[in-house]
Amino acid sequence: MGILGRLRGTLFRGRDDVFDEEMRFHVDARTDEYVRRGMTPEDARREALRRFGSATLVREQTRDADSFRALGDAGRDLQYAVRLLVRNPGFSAIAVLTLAIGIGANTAIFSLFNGLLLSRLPVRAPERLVLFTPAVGEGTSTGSPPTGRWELFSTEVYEHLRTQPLPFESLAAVRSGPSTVSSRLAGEQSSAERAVVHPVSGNYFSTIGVSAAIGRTLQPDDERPAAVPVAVVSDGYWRQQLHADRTAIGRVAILNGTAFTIVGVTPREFFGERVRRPPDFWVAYTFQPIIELRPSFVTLNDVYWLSLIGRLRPGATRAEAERAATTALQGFLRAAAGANAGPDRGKEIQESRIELFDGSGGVSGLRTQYGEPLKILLAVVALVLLIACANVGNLLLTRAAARQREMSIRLALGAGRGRLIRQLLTESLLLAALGGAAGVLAARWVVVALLALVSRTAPVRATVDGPVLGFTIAVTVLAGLLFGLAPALYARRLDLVGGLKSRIGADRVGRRRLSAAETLVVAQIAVSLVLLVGATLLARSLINLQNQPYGFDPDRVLLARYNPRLAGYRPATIPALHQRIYERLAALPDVRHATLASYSPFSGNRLGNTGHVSGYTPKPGENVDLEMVFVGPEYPVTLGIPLRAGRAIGSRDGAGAPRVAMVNEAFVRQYLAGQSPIGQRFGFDDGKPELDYEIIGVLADAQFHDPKQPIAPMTFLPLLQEATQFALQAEAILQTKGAPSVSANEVRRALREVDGNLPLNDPRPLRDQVADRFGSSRLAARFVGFFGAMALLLASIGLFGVVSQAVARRTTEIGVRLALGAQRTDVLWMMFRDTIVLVAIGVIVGVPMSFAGARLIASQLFGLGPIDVWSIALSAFTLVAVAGIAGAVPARRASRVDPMFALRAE
Amino acid sequence: MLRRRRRPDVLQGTLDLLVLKTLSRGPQHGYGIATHIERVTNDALRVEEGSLYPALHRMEQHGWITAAWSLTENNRRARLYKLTRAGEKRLAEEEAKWTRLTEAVGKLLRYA
Repeated sequence: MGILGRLRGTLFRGRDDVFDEEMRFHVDARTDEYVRRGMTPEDARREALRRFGSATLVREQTRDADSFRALGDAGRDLQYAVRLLVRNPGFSAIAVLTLAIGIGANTAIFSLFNGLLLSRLPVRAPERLVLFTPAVGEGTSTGSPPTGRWELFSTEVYEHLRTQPLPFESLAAVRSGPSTVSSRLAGEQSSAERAVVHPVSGNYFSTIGVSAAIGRTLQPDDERPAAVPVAVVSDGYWRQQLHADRTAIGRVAILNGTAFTIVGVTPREFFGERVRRPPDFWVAYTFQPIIELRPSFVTLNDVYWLSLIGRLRPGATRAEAERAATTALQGFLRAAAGANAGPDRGKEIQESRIELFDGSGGVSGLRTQYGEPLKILLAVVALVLLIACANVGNLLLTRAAARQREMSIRLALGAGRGRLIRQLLTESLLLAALGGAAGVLAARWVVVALLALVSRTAPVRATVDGPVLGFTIAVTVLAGLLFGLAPALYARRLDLVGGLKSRIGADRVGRRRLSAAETLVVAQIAVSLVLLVGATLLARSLINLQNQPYGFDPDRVLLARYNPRLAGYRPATIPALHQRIYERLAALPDVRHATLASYSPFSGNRLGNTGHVSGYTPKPGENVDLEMVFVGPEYPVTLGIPLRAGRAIGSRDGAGAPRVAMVNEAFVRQYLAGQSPIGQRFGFDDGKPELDYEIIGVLADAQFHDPKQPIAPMTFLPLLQEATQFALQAEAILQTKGAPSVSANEVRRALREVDGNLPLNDPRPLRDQVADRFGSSRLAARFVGFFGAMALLLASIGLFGVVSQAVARRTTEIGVRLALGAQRTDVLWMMFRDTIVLVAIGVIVGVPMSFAGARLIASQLFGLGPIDVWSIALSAFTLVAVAGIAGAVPARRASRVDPMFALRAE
Repeated sequence: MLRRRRRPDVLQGTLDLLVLKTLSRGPQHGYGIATHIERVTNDALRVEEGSLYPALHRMEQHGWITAAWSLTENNRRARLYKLTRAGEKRLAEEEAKWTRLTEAVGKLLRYA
C-alpha cells in the first residue's frame, strides 16, 4: 500500500473497516467449522469469538501495523492530535478559523509587500542595474544646468558620460516620460488609435538586460541621425493589435504620420524600467520630435529630458560608479563653462553630483505611494495574528484544564513531562498548520481584491508562491509554538496529586491573581486598543485630508481633458480652438460657469519655470520658482477660488491683448510683501523680454498638489493668448447646475461637435480626482480599520470565553449565594466586575502602547499629532463598549442560575 | 463442548515464516492460513488469531505480501493474501535462518 496508504492509515481510521470485514469473515468461517463439528450455532459463535480474542485490541494492533512505525512517537502524537481534533469539531473549527484569519491576513499583506516592494525587474542580473534617480516624476527641464543632484540629463551630457571610462558595462538613456501618439498599422483600414511610445537609447535593451521574444530589440545603430525608423512593440500590443502573429515582424506602424518598421516583440513579463503598464512601442530617442510633435531636444544642449540607467560592470560597486560619474560630470561642466566662469558657477559645478540608486526593482510609483502604508499594514496584521494566537492559546488552556485528569493519569502511568509537552505542542502545530492552509486559501482571494484596490494596470505580481509560502510557513510554525506555549507551560506545572483529586472545592473564592487566560485577555485588549487607536488616527487624518479647505470648491465641478496636439493642432491654430470650445461649453444649459485650464488641481500635473518679479531681489542662490497655470475666462468663479483683489482674466485677454496674469496670495507674500500687487510686473526665464506680464488680480491660495506641503507661489496666465506648445493640452472645467456626472455626456457631445477628431478623456468630477489623490491613505485607513475591528472581535470572543468559564466554574457558588438570599443584580455585578477589571487593566496597558504605535505612523498622519486625545478616547470607548457587551452576556447568564439546579449538580 | 487442550503457541518470531510458507502454496485468506497451519501440524501449532491479523498487515506494509478482496467458493467476500517477489526472498531468508537455528539447537542437544 506504500507511503500514501500508510499515511492514510496514520491519519484516518477508514482501514478499520477492512479489518472489521476480515474479522467478520474469519469468525463466520470458524463458526461454520464448529457447527460442522456438531456445536449449536450459538455456542459455535461464542466459541469462535472467544478464540479470536479481543476485537478491540486486535483492531488497535492491526491499525498500528498500518501506520507509520518509523515516525514513532511523533507519528503517534500526530495521530492522537488528529483524533482529538476530529472528536471536538466545534473547538477545532473555531481555532482553525481564528488562525486562518490571522495567518491569511499576514499572507495576503506580505504577498502584496513582496510583489510591490521586494520584487525585481524580470531581466538578466537586475542587481547590477543602477538608476540615476529613484523619483517617480517625469518631465523636461530647460534653461541653466541643474544644480546639486542631477536627475535629468541633456543629450550632450549623456553622450559625454557614455564615452567616459566609467565602471558601467553600458549606460542607457530613456526619455523622462513616454508620450501618447496617434498610431495606425499600415495596410489596415482601421482608424488611428492612441498608443504609448517610449523613446529610449539604442542600447536600452542590452543595458537593462532583455532580449526580444521575437525578432530583435533596438540596437545602437537605430539611434544614428540617418537611421530608418524602427520600433519594438510590447507583448501586450503584439497580442492585441497584431493578434499574436509571429510573422508580424516587418509590418509598419504609422506613428504620428511617420512609418516605423516593427523589428521585434519584448518578452511577455517585460514592462520596461518602470513598474507600470508597459508602453506599446519603444523607439530610438532620436525620433523624439516625431513622437512628441515638438522641436528636437536631441541637439539642444539646454534641454534636460533624459533619465539614465546604468548596468554596472561585474565586480564594480555603486559607490565607485557614483564617484567616477560625478567626476566625469564635473569635468564636462568645467570644460563647458570655460575659463570665464565666475566663482559662483565654479561653486555650483563643484556641488553638482550624481547619485546612483539600486535599480534591481525598477522605478515604481506604487512602491513610493504604498510602501509606507504597507509596512504599517504588515505590523497591523502581525498584531492581529498575536491576538488570534492569544485566543487559540486561551481555547487550548481551557481544554488543558479540562484534560487535567487525562494528563495526570498519563503522568501517573509513567509518561515523561517532556513527552506530554511534546504531545501538546504537536496538537498546537497541527492546529496552526490547518489554520495556515486555510489562511493561504483565503489569502489568494484577498490578494486579488487588494491588488484591484492598489492598481488595475501596473504589472505587480503579488501571488501566493515561493517566498510568500516560506513566510507563511514560518509564521504558522511561530504561531503554533506561541499559542502552544500556554498549555505546555500549564502541563509543566501540573500537580500530579491535585489533578487526580476530585474537583470539589477547587474554586477558591476571592482569588485575585490573574490566571493565564485572563492575562492573555488583557494582552488582547491592550493590542486591540493599539490597533483601534491606529485606525482612528488614520481615519481622522484621511477625513482631515479630504475635508480640509483646499481653497477651491470641488463640488459640482466636471473636468474634461482633451488633447489638441494629437488632433494635429499647432501653436498657431490652438487659441482659436480653445476659444470655440470655451464658447460652446459656456452655452450648455446644464453649465453654470465654464473655463479652460492647462491643468486642474490634483491632476498630478505641474508646470513651472524660474522668473523675475519687479522690485524683488533674490537672495544669493535663490531661484524665483513660479508655477504656471494657463487659464481661460471665468476661472476663479468656476473653481470657487475667491478673487482677493483686482479682476479675473476674461474674454478680452485674448490674442493680441496685453499680457496679464493673476497670482496667488503666496506669490504676493513672498515676492511683493508690503506692496500693492495690482499693476506689478513679472516675467519668466523663457528668452522673451523680461517682466512681460502685468498682475491684474490676486487669487486666494488654493492647494493644487500635496496637502502636506505649503502652497507655493503660483501664476495664472491667459490660455487664450498662449500660441505655444504649452497650450497644446488643456482641460475644460465646468461648474454644473446639477450633479457633475450627469452632464458628462452632454459635455462629450459638445466637444465632439467642435472637433470630432479631438482625443478626449472621459469627463470626471473634480471630487473624484481629489479623492483619488488620497488612495493610499484611504487604503491604509480602510485596512487598519478592518483589521482593528477584527482584532476587537477576536479579543471580545476571548473575553467572552474567559467570563463564560468563570461563570461555569462558579455556578455552585452562585447557587449558594442565591440560596442564601443574594439578589440577582448582586450576582450580575459580581460577574461583571471581572470584565471591568480585565478591560480596565487592558486599557491601562494599551494606552502607552498605542502612543508608541502612533509614533510609528506619524508620517502618515495629517492635521493631528500621534498623541491625539480624541482618537484615544474614541477607541477606548469603542473597546469598552464592545468588551462590555462580550462580558455582560455570560454575566447575565450567571444571574439567571437556578439555585436548586446549581446545588443539585454538585 | 470441546475440551480445551494446552497447545504450544507459535514460537516467537516464527509466525512470519509459517505464514509466508503457507502463502507460497498460493493465495489464501486469514482463516485459511490459520487452519492450514493447524491441519498440517496436526494441531500441534496453533496460530493465535489475535496476532495473525496484525502480522498480516505488517507484512503487507513491508511489501512481502499483497492483499485483495475476492469471493470464496460459497460466495463470501474474503481478503486474499498473496506472496510477492520480495516475500519469496524473505521466505528464503527466514527458512535459512530457521534451519541454522534448529541445527544449532540440535547440536547443543546432542552434546549435552
